[in-house]
Amino acid sequence: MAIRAQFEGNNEIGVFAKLTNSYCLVAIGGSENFYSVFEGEIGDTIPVVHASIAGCRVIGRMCVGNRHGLLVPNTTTDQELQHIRNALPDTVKIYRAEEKLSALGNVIACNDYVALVHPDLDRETEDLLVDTLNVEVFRHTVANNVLVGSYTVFSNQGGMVSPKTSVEDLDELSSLLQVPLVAGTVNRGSDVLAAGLVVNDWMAVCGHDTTSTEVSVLESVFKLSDHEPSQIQTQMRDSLVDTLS
Amino acid sequence: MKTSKHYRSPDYCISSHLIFDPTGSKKCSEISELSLYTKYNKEENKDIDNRADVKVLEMKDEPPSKPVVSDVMFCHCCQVKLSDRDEQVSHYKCDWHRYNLHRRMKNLPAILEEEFDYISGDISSISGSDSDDTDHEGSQDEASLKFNELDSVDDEQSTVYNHPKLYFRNKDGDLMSIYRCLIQQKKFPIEDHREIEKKIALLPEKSNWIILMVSSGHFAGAVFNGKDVLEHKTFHRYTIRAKRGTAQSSKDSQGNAPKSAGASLRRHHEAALIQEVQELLTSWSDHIKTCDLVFTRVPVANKIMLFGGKSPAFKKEDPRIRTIPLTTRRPTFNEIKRVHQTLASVENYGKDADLNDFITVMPEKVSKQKKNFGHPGRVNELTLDNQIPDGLYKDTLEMFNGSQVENLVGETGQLKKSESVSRKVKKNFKATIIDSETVCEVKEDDDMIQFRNNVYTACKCGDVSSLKNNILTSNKSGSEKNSTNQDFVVTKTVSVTNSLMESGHAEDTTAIPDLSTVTIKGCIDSDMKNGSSFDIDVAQFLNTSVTDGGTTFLHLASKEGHDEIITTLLECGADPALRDKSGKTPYSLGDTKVRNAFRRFMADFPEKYDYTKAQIPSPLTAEMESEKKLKAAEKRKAKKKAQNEKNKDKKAAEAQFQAEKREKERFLALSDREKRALAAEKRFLQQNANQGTMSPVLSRCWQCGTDITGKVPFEYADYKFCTTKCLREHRSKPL
Repeated sequence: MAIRAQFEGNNEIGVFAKLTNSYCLVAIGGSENFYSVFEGEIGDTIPVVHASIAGCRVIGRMCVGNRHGLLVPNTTTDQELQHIRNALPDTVKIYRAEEKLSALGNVIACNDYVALVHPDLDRETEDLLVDTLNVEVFRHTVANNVLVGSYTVFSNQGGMVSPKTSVEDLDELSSLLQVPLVAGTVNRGSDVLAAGLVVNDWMAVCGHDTTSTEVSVLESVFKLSDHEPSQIQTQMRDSLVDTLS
Repeated sequence: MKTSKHYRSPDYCISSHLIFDPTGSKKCSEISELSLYTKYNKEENKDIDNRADVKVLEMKDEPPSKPVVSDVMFCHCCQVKLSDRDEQVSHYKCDWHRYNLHRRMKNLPAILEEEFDYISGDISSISGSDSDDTDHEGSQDEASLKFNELDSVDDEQSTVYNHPKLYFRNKDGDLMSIYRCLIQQKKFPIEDHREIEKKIALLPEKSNWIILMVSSGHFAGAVFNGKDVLEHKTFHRYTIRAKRGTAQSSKDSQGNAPKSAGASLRRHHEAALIQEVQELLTSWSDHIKTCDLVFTRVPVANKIMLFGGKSPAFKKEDPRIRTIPLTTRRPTFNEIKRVHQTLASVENYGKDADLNDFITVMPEKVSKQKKNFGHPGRVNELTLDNQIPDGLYKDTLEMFNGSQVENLVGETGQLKKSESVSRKVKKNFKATIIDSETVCEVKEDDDMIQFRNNVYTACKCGDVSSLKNNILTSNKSGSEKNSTNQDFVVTKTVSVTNSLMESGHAEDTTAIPDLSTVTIKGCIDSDMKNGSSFDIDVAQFLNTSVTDGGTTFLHLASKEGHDEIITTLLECGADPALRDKSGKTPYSLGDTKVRNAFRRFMADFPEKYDYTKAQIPSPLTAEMESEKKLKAAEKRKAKKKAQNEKNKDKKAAEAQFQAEKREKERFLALSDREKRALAAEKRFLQQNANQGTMSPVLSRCWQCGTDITGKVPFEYADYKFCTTKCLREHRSKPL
């Protein structure tokens, strides 16, 4: 299911949180409301951790991670890194990337298998991505924009790209990333998807402004809806009908 | 559907064609490429159309809200169809895709892969040798055609100093350029317009070129005849220190050469590269003999490849050798081809082109000449350089000429000024000597200080030759003092100018004769006193203290440990008996080397100074020294001998100890019964020895039969032996 949340009155919750299949990082805020949303939904399955990166709360845009690992920018202090290390599961590899484009979340979008990156990303960072996150790295743009991390959100189930993406590009990206993609918006028409939405394989959190249409689109593409038509209905129907008739 | 609207519109504002191929076949190739490109695009688009239709049909069956993973294997950025997942994955990682992404960001059309390979100049290739498309330039046409339009033209060429290109206009008024190095060597510029014209006309016949490039372990060389590549070869050797980025030899030359495996590998590879290149050049010797021009891009350290070895491929003064006047990338065959094409092309800028747009080196040139201004031989060159562009164009004359003339005036002004400055200096000199005594003294004081400084520096640094120069010149003046005034003054001034020269103040050597005549005149006018004030009695000069601490030059040299300086100073009259403020003599300040110098001098000149006062204990003659040396050698010998003996004893003891140890081990390895038997044997032997009777042989070696009574035997399977050798023999013996 997809739930709506706000961070201290701000709808860009993707900026203040990082959600993956094995951990969740949440910015340290004035109130615990935002944290409670995550803690209440997924706190019993994966660790939800308060974190800051380079003293900032915009951790969602600064770091990039998936089930296998987490990359933080080189501005991260040793204490912060140590704290994150302590809080995350041991199987999660954590590395500091010496990358010029330090807002890693804006220049890299990834799930557990593939990553879409900014065309100018360093070769070393690319190698680090492969080693740390176990992903295949592709350099590409989304809707003629190099900030692929900002305009794309995808999980292992599906993905959403900026509505300015052309149909051909959408197909190309979909075949490249091997996940179904749709063009969509969050937060009542915002095309900066990654800022308004955090997602993993079984839950999504979006900004408070997100309309129900937007929620239904993202639930369908990320396969989060509880009333998802079962396989019997979709794939086996024809053969069943054949045999029953 | 996306249509291919990004046709390349080739930019024909600047057209260029090869010297050897005036028909401009490049244009054709560009056009053909273009058509190919659009055709390709269309095909692709059709493909997509079909697939899209199919998909629409499929979609009808499925529930509408269900997105699926697309199977479109097509990169819209590069306009390339990809056959399978592997190809897709590798495509999105390649440089070509990345390059196209950047172009897309700038709203530029994508380029084809072949084009990209060409543009990138094979930068990513490590080996440096690759083979791909070569003849995209079309067919070889008549070479002599190209300059016929130019030959008849009364084009004036420019020789703008240092600019790599020659600009000229043909009879149609088009501004054209070729590389200057095709015509002349940098060191020997040709000034005559007619000659340059002649040479340009001859260019198409001189089409045998060799291009050689070496850089950081890569070598690439090719022999061209016109556009044809007759031979080419590339090497790569591992010579550059990884990450650090300098050649191994340059690191080694800094001293403290590393001994790592990598370092020796690189050293070996450097030598191998040089050898390979030299061998290659010998195999190309026929081409080298017949070629018209040789273009090289070889770092100084690697010049040995071309000019070194037993039979050098080229002579250093070979008039055919030119350096490549453009920036080059890593030496590869592609790069060589690019250089060849660039050098061999004539650029046509059209009628409206203004030369001022191309020549931007003017300011640099001016600054360069400023630096050289005091040099009289330079003047000609400057004016020549500046005059040549004056007669350059008729059409752009006003503007160009104006600035040029200004430039010229500015420069000559500068020159005049500089000349007048040096004249002023001379005048000053004259004035001081002729005019007032006081001023003169001040002046001479300055000279004195200068002189003292020089001597001080020499003593401090241990520069004997400079010290001798300084002192001897003034010494000479001292000795000649009595003969004639004039002579003395001459030598004195020379010494003054010399010292000035040394300190780097006087640039103008031609001024010296002037100066001396001036001073001679001055001295005749002035009285003797003037002269004698500088006529230092060197001894007195040397014996004055140079610092507040009462240190003399001798103290200084002694402290610094320059024994030769000390000898020189002593010879010149520096007194070793003088003490500094703390009461120390120069002798007491020095180390053994310095003290020996003092003592040697004492031996040579036993009467010259008061040596007891100088605290020099005894003279040191050559005999004494040799005797001492002999003694020392003997002593060393004896010591060595003793050491050897000691070592020998030690070794013997060690051997004995080892033998004992082995014996012990063998004994311990025996069984208790055998130990007892052995003990009994020993006892028996002892008893016999005590009684003085011959001991009986109780056991013998099974192999050689030696008596081994009372000894720990070597044994196997109940056989006993005296030595392991016997045991081995017995064992290997066939039963």
